[in-house]
Amino acid sequence: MLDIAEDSLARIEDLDPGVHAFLHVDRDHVLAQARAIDSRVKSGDREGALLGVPVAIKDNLCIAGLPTTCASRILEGYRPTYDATVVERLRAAGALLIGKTNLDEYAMGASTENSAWFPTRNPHDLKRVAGGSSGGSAAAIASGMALCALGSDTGGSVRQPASFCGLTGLRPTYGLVSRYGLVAFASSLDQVGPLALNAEDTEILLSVIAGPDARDSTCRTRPLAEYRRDLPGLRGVRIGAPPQYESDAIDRPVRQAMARLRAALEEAGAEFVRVDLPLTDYAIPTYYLVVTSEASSNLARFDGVRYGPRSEGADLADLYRRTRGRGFGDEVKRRIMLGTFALSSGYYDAYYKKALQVRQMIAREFDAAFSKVDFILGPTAPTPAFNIGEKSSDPLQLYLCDVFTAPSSLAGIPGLSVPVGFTESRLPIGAQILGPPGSDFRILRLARDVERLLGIENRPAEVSRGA
Amino acid sequence: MKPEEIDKIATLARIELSTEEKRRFAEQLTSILGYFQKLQELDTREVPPLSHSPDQRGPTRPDEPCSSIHPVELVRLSQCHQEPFFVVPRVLEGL
Repeated sequence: MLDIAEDSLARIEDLDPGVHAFLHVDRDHVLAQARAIDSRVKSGDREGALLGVPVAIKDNLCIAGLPTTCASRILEGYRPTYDATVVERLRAAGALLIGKTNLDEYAMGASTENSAWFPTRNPHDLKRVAGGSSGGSAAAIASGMALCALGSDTGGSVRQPASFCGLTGLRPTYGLVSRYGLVAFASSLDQVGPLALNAEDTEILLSVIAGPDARDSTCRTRPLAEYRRDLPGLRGVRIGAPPQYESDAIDRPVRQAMARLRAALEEAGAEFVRVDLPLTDYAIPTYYLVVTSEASSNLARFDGVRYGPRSEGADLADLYRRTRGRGFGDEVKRRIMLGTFALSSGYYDAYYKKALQVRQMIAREFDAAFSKVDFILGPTAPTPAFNIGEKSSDPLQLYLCDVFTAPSSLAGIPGLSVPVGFTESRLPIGAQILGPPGSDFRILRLARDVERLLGIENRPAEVSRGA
Repeated sequence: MKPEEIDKIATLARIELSTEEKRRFAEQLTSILGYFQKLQELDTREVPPLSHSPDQRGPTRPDEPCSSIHPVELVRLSQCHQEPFFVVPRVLEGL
């Protein structure tokens, strides 16, 4: 395993100065793991679905002894003493944890430009964003620095970077994967999700990390094996095509790729059915009211007392104010302000409660759709990867990137992005497959069929060295 | 959103903001909240709020003793501590 570890580290040293996928790579930690895996194999234990596989971990998941910063200055220097459950399970499967990847601060963003340190660049075009918030994890795979990675998805943060970087990325059913050791952003929505070059690797990763965990009370208790039953083939499968996912606001190359995908699936025996999702347009305000409200509460714990740097103040309240004023970046402050407003006396009913009611309507809309179809198909994002700096001056423009991914997050259903083509300038395009709760393995099965039908070769991009 | 409102929210949120940040956030939050008004188009009178994912039962685990992280390990992560305590400015007068 030592040679695999050395190779991975050398590739990171070579390419990451241009890509900026990683926040922390600890050489000694990687080599120590490789030695431990080696001795495990020597002792005759060759079990482990990920033996020696280099996996990158988003920096909002805890690895004992390594920094966990959430790309925020307020957590600078914080080194948790424990592993997240998903990390523990990766270790047990023999994975080589190669490093911690960049993200939008506290996973708040859709481009990884909100990192307190640097934006991550898209390996397919270094002038463009890798997507976000799990942009570092996606870029690490797309440049061949890791074979697969973990991200987290609150409103699209696994699916959209997968789409921008030409990868498969799954947001599992809410509660399928433990969140013990994931820094909480919006607890009714956050999910840990796998990213990889193809659906098969994504499935292997999901099988390792998913399943009940007594340390996360929001985790589903049903054994994982039950989710694998009754995987249908393509013939006769019913796929929902909402007219709301075909709007003119979607870039033409994305619409063309979707049309080719539909034709290929129909040719293979799938049946397309019109399902109406008229509430799609209301999902962004609903989503942003829910996440900012939850974030304003979750992030109250970062106050300089228990973790990270502290700014002294005249009294305790002053210490909190100064620490948070200096430690949090722009977008995090904006969201905490927005959420605090939505929950404040006099506005609660008009904003937060209203959003929860619309959330109920959106969940019911999906329920009704899945009584008619097995899956819903559409683009993951309205555009391919955009230029760095293109949307960073207007927060609302960036929020609108989540238009196709946020609705399913609100409903708690699984969603996956699978590569379905490229633009003329070789930027990847992703399609999103949505299914009812618990259909994760059926979605992965359909993604494999899509890969086979379209014959897209999923391999790392050619990155110019040290660009 | 008026500057006084921004001040009030920043106080509730325990965040110190510069004059420049207050001006910018007032402008941006006004624009974002304006867009969020869209939700008022929907009639939600008969709809119960959904605060958690559907089919979420909140199972409890058996109350059995098991090992967990030692509190002192966590206290040591603080920049300012005196085992086994976190150190903060005095909150009670006259001690």
